[in-house]
Amino acid sequence: MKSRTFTGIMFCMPLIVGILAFTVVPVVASFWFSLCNYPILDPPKFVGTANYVELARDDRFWHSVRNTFTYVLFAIPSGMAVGLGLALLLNQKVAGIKVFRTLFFLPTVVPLVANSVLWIRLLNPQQGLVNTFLKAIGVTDHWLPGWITDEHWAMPGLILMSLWGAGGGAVMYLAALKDVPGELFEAAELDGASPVQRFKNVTIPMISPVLLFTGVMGLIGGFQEFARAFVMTKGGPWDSTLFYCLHLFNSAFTEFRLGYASAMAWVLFAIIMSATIIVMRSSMKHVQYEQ
Amino acid sequence: MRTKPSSYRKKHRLFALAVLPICVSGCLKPPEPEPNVITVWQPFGASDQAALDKMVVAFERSHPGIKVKMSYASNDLTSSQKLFLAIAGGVGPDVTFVDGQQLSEWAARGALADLTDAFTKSGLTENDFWKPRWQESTFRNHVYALPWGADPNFAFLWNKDLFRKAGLDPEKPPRTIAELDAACDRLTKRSEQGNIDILGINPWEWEGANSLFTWGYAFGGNLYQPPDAQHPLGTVTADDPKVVQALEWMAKFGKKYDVRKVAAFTNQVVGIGNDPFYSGKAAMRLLHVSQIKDLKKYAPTMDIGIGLIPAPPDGEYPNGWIGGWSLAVPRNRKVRPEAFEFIKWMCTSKEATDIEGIDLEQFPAYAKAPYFEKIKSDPVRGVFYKILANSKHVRTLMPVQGYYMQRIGRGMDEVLYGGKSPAEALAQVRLDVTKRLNSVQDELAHHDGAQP
Repeated sequence: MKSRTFTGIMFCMPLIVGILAFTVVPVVASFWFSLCNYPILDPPKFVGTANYVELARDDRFWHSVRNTFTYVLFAIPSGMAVGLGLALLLNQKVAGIKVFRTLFFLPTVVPLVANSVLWIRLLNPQQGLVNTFLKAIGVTDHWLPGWITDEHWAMPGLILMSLWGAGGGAVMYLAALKDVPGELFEAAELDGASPVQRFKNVTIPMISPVLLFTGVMGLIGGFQEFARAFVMTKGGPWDSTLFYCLHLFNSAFTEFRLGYASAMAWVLFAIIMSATIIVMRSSMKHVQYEQ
Repeated sequence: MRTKPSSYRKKHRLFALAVLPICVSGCLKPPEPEPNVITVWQPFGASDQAALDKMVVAFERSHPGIKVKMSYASNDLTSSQKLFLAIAGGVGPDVTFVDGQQLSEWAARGALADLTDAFTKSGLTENDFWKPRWQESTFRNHVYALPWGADPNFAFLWNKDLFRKAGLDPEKPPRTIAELDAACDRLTKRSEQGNIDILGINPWEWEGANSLFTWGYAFGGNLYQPPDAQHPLGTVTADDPKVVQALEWMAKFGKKYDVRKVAAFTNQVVGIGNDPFYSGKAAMRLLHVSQIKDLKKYAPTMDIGIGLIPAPPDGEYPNGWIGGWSLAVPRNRKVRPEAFEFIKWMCTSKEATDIEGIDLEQFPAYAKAPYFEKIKSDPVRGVFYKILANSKHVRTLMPVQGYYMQRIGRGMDEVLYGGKSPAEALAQVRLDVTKRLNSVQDELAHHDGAQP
C-alpha cells in the first residue's frame, strides 16, 4: 500500500512541482520582494515597509485605485444586469433560440486585443457606430460623448465596452433559470403574483447562488482590469483610464521597480479579499441554496 | 480486489521517477551556448523579417562555421520584459537589439556587457559612426553597444493638393512657426459641429514625449545637459525656456483646435493605410525614415512635398534629433568573439548596411556606409540625410530615460487637457526626474564603492 501511495505521489509530482514552482514560490517571493528594493537585474535589497509607505504617498497610486473602484462599481453590476436581461430573453420559447444563444455568447470568445481594436473604431467620437447610433436616435452633436478620447468619457467608454462580454454571464444565468422548477412559478401565479413579483420573489432567489458567483468572479476580474486600457488608451487621456494593474505593470516593467509593484500586488490582494468577504458576508441572508 | 503484478508497479514507479527529473531539470541550470551558434533577439515586426533573414544568410555565407539563430523579443521602447527576465534568469541571448535611448538606463542597471575591449581591438573608431548615435552607445566612457541604425527625426511632409485647395503655394512650405500656424488656419476644415474633417497638422502625433523633444529642439531648447563635474549623469532641463515656449505653442494649438477633437480625429486610425495623411485628411505631418515605404505603399500617387520642420526665427533650423537601434550583448553572456563579429558585421559591413538601407529602408549608423552615396541626392531620402548630417541632438543620455519620457507625456496631458501652465508642468517634470536621477546616481556610487 505504501508503495502504491509513493507511485501515486510520483505521478502527481509534475503537478505538485508545477504548483510549487509557478504558484506557491512566486506568491511567497512576491511578498518578500514587496519588502525590498528590487530592480529586477540586481538582487533584492531589504527596505522594510518603505514600498508600502511610498504607495500611501503616491498620488498616482490613489488615482489608479479610484479609477479601478469606479470601473468595478459600474461595470460589474451593469454587466450582471445586462447578462440577466439577455438570459431572460433567451429563456423564452421562440424559434431560433439556439442561434441567438450562440450569437450572444460569441463576443466572449473573441480575443480581448481583437475586441479592443474593434471597439476603438466603434467608440470613435466622430465616425464610430456608437455615436452614429446616438445621433440617429436624436442626440445632438453637442451632447455626443467623446468616449475614449475625452478624459471625462474614457472610463464610461470602457465600461460600455465591458458589456460586450455580458453574453458569458447570460449563458450561466440561462442555465440557472432552466433549473428553476416550473411548479414554483405555477404556485406563485395561483397565489396571484404578478410577473414582476414572480421575478423578484421566485426567479431572483432561485438563481441567487449563480448571481453571487458571477458577482464575485466579476469583482475579482474587475479589480484586475488591464488589457483593454493597455491596448486602447494606455491609461489616458490624462490618466483617466489608469487602472491599478496597468500602473502595477508600468511600475514593474517600465520603471523596473519590482519591489514597489509587488507591494501593489499585495495591496490589490488585500482589496480583492476584503471586497469578496464583504460581498459574501452581506449576501448570506439573500442567497438561497436548494436543500 | 485484484492487485497489479509487482513488475507492473515497478514499471510505473520507474516511469514516474524518470519523468520527474525531466520536469524539473529545465528549471535548474541554464543551457550552455551551442558552439559556433549565436542567438540574437530582434524587436521588429513581421514586415521586416525578410530583410533580417537576408542579413543572416549573408552573414553566414561570409562567415562559414558560424550559425545565427534570430528570434523576436518585443521591445516597446519603454521595456523589454522578455529580455530582462531572461537576463535575470541567466538565459539571455548572445546579442540583442537595444534602442539608443534605452542604452544608458540598461547599462546603469547592469543589463549589458561592457564591449570596450572588444571595440578597441576591432579597429573601429567612434568617428566611423554618426556622432549622436555613437553617444547613445556609450555610458560613463564605456562602450556598451555598436550603433546599427540612425533615424533622423523627423522630415516635414505636406500634401500639395490640399495646399492648392487651401490657396497656399504648394512649393512654399511653412518655414517658421508663425507660417505653420497660418497654414493650419487655412488648411484645417471643420464641420458645423466642430468636428475636424481635415487637419493642418497634429503637433503631438509622435506621442507626448517624442513630440516635445522634436518641437523643443526646433524652438532652440534642450531637455538635457551633458555630464559635468557636479552632475556626473547630466542635468534635466525640461523647463528650459525654449522648451516651455514649444509647449506653450502646443497648448495654444490644443486650445484653438480643441485637443479632444484632434484626438477624436486621429483616433479613427486603425491600420497604417487609414492614416489621415495617406487618406488625404491631414495636410502636414512629421515623417519617420521607416515610413518612406508606407508612403510608397499607401499614397503612391499623392503629390507630396518633403522638407525640414519649421522653426521660430530664433529657433534651430535645420533641426531634428537622431535615434536608432544598436546591437549589444546582455550582461550574463560573455562577449563571444563570434557574437562581436556578428555585431560588427551588422553595423559596418557593406552588405548589411545596404540591406538595412535598401530592403529595410532605414539609415545605417555607420557614417561611412556606401549606401549614403546612393541616396544623398534622392528627393526624399536626401532630406533625411541632410537632417542626419546636421543634427547634433539625441533624446537624452540619462539612465532614467524611460521615466523621463513617461513623465513628459503626463506633463503634456496636464497642460493640454488640464490647462496647467507649461512652465509649471515642466518644472515639476524636472524636479521629479532629477529626484529619480539622483537616486540612480546614489545607487551607482554605492555600486562603484563596492567594486574592488
